[in-house]
Amino acid sequence: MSSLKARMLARLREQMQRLEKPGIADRRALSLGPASIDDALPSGGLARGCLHEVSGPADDAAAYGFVASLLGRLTQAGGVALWCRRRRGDRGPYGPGLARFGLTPARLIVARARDTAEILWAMEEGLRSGRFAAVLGENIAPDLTATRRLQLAAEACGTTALLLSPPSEKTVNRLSAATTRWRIASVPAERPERPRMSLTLERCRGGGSGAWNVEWNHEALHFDLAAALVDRPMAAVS
Amino acid sequence: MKRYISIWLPHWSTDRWRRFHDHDRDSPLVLIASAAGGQSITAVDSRAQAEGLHPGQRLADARAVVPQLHAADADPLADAQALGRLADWCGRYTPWSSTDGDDAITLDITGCAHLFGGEAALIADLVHRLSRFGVGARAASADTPAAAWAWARYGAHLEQEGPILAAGQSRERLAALPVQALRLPTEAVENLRRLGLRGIGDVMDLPRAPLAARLGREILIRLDRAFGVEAEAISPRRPPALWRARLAFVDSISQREDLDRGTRHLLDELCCALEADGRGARRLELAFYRVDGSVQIVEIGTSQPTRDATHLARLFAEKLGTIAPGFGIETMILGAVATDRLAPRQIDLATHATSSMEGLAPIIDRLQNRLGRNAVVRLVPVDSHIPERAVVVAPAVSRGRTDPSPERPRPIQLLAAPEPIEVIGLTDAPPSSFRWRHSEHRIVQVEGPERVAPEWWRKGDPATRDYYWLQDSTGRRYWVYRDLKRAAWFLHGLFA
Repeated sequence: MSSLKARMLARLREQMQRLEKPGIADRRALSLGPASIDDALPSGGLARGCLHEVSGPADDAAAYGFVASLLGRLTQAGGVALWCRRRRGDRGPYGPGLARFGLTPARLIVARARDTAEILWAMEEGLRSGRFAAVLGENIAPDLTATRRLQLAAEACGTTALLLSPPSEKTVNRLSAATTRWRIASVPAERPERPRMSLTLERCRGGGSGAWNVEWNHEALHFDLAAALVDRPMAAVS
Repeated sequence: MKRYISIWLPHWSTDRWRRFHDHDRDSPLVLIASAAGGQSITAVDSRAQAEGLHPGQRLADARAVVPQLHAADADPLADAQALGRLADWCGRYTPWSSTDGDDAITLDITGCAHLFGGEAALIADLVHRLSRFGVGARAASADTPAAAWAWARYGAHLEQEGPILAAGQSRERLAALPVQALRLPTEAVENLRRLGLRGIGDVMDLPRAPLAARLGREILIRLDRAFGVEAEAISPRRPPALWRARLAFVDSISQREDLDRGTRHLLDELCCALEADGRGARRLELAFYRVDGSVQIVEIGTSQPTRDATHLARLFAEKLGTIAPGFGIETMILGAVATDRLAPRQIDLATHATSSMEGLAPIIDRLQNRLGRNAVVRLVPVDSHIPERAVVVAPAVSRGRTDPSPERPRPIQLLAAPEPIEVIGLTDAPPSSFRWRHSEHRIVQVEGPERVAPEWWRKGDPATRDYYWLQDSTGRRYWVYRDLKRAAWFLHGLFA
């Protein structure tokens, strides 16, 4: 009887928290889909209310697909994501493409800043307001202090922060206070509808590392482990 | 009943010159400009005037009369700009101020005088403050701007009568003034003099039709304006805010904390007034009046009407750093320049947090006030087949549209402008390899074409395009198209 009461109480608490702040509606870790990836992360998924860093090679948009899928999952419960980027650029996130990765444009607000300092400011403001389900900074490579500030702001309000750092050799050894660091690259897909990418967990606080090939399912909106290139003419490669 | 003050600055140009130049106050000063046949005087100070000098006189002639005369170059443009700033400064008395000619300022003080202890006290305070800035001024109040102007120049010096033309007294008291007080052109005054009409009292009761026939309609218009029969259209320098709050300090303040506290006080007051009228602020202006007579103004905007003083205070806090208090700030005035209807609302506990846009307005405002007015946006889908037109950038507060995800794969990054690529392949067939930004991409897989026809109803529309999904040997996926009119290939986007 008392355990039933305790469970009810826990559920009510959770509901109240959800009413109070949409940003921390759900503090459980964010599942990335395949169990083998979730298991490699200490919290059984991508920890919410932390800073995660994502990068990829130049002129490869796979990292965009990855973060769009994360933002899509984070805003599923009804929140809004804040995407902070530079005002000028030769390319920008494209709504229909984001929607294919589960991030509907209605759940996205884009803040266009003049420089890196303004992007960092906007991210921190967004995180500390506690009003967003997630906050992303595009194409910046902040130093250790700046990432620590972001990490603290994310922790304080329980909002997940993402850094889409620029593709550069320098970023590999850059010090960062991010909880996890991912490197995402395109890998050959069989069909346009099922894009594939390789996820490399380069660093994870309290966890290990790993690499997976995944395939995006835009109907079910989740990643599946990709059958390891068996269909490709491997003979030609070897 | 409307009330106006006209401030006459008889020696504005020379007073202004003295403010910026350390010059011996006892020697007469004139400002000069080059004219045909030598330099001539454009402005004289009170001392030079006492010596009998007057504008229009040759400098050489004036020097002959007053050898110790100091002459400086006139700068009419700077004079006019400074007069505008002085009119802004008069905003400490009323939101409605305007420059009048090149040596006068008009204030609409309807309903404002009681804040300063009545009209007499207001005028005394105004003249005293101006004299502290080294600006000689004469001010008078009346029912119309024209009457106040006349009284300031021609009536107020009558010591026993005082600067105030009480309501309804214009007619009888202006009658004693000369006709020049009507602001008539010189030839009209000359004509009147020839007819033996020297005072306003002589002309105001004459039959109107013969008067107009003889001297032109101008004189009737001037009379009507002075007596309030015809309204005079004068626009204020800044649109006056309908909702205002004012805070004057006995001792001037300069500490940042004091500015914050003052701002908060004003916001509380203003928000109460807005609530009473069912309005919410969209744009607010906070003016700081410094003791040295300059004014600094900061402005904030909100994405949705609001009267949340805490939120507005936070928006102002970002901007207060730009305020330089100088020797101190003596008055702060907050005005709601733009407002929208905002119905009083009960706080509904159940829906308070779940209406997500509602909760976002404060943070959007904060971002917008720092990053710029159009910096916080949404990507709103639009019905168009042309890829670059399928998304428009809209203000963040607009309602987002939830569209089903597109049927066909779409790139996640779109280039700002399609970039030409060099392709290798057969004509009319998808390329087997292409070169983009100095690197070669060997294509291993192709999907397409997807034909996008131009929207013929729009002018200057792009040609028909055939889009292809290409995957190169490393697995990167591109969106390229062939422009059928130009028979050229372009890269338009990158797939994840």
